[in-house]
Amino acid sequence: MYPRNQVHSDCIVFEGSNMAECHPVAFRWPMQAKLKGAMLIHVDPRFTRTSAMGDIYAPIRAGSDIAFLGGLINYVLNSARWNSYPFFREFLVNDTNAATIISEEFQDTEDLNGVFSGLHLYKGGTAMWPFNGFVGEYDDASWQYARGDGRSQGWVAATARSGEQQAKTGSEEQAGQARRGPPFDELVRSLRKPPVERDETLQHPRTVFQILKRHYWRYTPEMVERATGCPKETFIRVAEAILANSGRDRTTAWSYAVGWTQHTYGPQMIGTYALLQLLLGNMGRPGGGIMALRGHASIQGSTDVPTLYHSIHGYMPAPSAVKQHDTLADYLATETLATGYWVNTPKFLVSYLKSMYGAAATPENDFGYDWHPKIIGDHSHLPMFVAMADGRVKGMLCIGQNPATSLNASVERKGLRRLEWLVVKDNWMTETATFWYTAPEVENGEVKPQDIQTEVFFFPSAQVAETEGSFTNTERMLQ
Amino acid sequence: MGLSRRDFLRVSGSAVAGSALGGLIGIGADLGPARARAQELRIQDAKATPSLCPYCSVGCATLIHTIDGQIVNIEGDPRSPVNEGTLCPKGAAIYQLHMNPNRPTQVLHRAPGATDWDVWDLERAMDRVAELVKKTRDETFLERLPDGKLVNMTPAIFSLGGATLDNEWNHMQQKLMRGLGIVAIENQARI
Repeated sequence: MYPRNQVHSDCIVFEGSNMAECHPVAFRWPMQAKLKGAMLIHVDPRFTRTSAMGDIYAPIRAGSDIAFLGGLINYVLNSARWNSYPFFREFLVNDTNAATIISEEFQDTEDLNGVFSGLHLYKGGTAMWPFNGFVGEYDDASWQYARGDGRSQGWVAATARSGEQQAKTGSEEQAGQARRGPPFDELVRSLRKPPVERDETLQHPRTVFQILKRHYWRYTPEMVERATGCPKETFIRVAEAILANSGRDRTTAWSYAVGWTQHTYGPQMIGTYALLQLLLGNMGRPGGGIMALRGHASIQGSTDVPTLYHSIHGYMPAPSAVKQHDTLADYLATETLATGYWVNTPKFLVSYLKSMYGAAATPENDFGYDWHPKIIGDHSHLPMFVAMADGRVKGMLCIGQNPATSLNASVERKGLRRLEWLVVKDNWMTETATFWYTAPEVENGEVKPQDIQTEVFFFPSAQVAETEGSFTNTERMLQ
Repeated sequence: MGLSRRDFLRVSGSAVAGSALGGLIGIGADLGPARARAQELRIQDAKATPSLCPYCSVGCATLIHTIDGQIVNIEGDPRSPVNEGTLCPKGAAIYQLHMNPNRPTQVLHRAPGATDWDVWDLERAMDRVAELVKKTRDETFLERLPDGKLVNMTPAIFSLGGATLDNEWNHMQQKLMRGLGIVAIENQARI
């Protein structure tokens, strides 16, 4: 959702966010909702200005949000209102995958003493690039839907403009044998899987719904109090508020920001709360949904475009030496989804390659795919600085960011000292540009500037009114 | 206006019966010229260019008023559905980012082991950076991994930055980096 839409919310929960102080102009909208009678709830380790504007403040220990949200899910699932008011179950059955049956191989944390099935040692790196922080990872093969025998999939439209035709099952052609394209239609068709099994009564033990119930049964209000430190009464007040403010004519919204994302299990927190919103039917409705508050002027644009190592434009995965991405066709066979908007992955990737290589990208040379570099492991922020401190990174371009003061700053500065060259381009002189004489370890004599062999450049930048361009804001709106 | 601030405050402080306005008229101030002067806003002849706030992600729209290319005022844009002309304290101070005697204006270079900056001119610095990028990239370029997999990349250069830069810059940044084979591209979104 976008901030202005919160005017229509009947209840807004701020968790992992201090919206009043960090997004003050957007906070006008929750305040207008409050003037219309909305309830504002703030769940946070600190009592901040956002809490001061709230009707309920629920204190929790930092990082214990999954316990809190899990408790809300359990409370909702067992509540009288959720079980008797028809809207919730209708939404669940018709607009979510709650009725879909999961494969027999899946095992939940209840069965495996705290982990899901498919856990194995991390094998994402290469010998050439061993830097990463991971120990294990999940293989999600056992988490997939149970599928029918695939004799017929019913009707499907071959393209947006053509008429419907009888679908062929995916088991007849393996992705490897399909014509490699372009055009890539056959390759995409070959990825289709047989239809999923569903139970709309939600009784089958392997429906998503029943797995959910079993997973969250132990998140009682007492457990929430133990794990999060939030008093049971406060937790129940929050749960009752969101239940009362969800339904056919009321919606609850949730706002989160870096209070959630700055955890290694941030995605899991966000996923848990998305689950909660789906149970409450708050998705796709005015005043309902997820307000994911971003931080910087165009950080959303920098995520979409992106200047991130692991993805290319529009959230396609960056070609990787660690995955089955050897050729263009391999990449497309691995990354294209057979249903939904991502059936268009071939079009997106070819369009991207043309934007990279222009007229030199032709069907004969796979649109230049082979020229495109592949990642060889985890090249994200912290592993790069660790590699830098290890002498593996020679040069760095730092534009509009100041790593000398962020995260584990002394590790980052240690990395900077090992560089052969550093280019800093910024509006103001930053600690990163001056690390060789202003860093604490230089000022206290531990490290001498004469021993730092980094060649450093500082280029002053234009300010916002002096350049042209577009920003993508937290509404995901381009301006 | 012939009235000093002190007079004004004294008058308004003592205007018990009436308003401050009444108080002013009471001491014989003629408000005609003041009103006329107030109409001569410093942005009267300015060109208004729409822009955005560079701080948080709300994306408040601003109006940049310039006279002969010099910024004279920055305020919120009332037409925007995002902020409707309002700005927070940081946004309201964007003028100070631009018209500021403390802005760095020179390209600086620090030689390895040096204890001071040197001022370089832009051309020389750009040439040297290009030279270093090409040299490091060529020295560390990996066409294939030991197992024969084609990678066409260099792991030895890191490009950090982007979240406060516009979309077009981000595209060009990643295009240049990936064009050279540099894959370690990151920004504040990671954090």
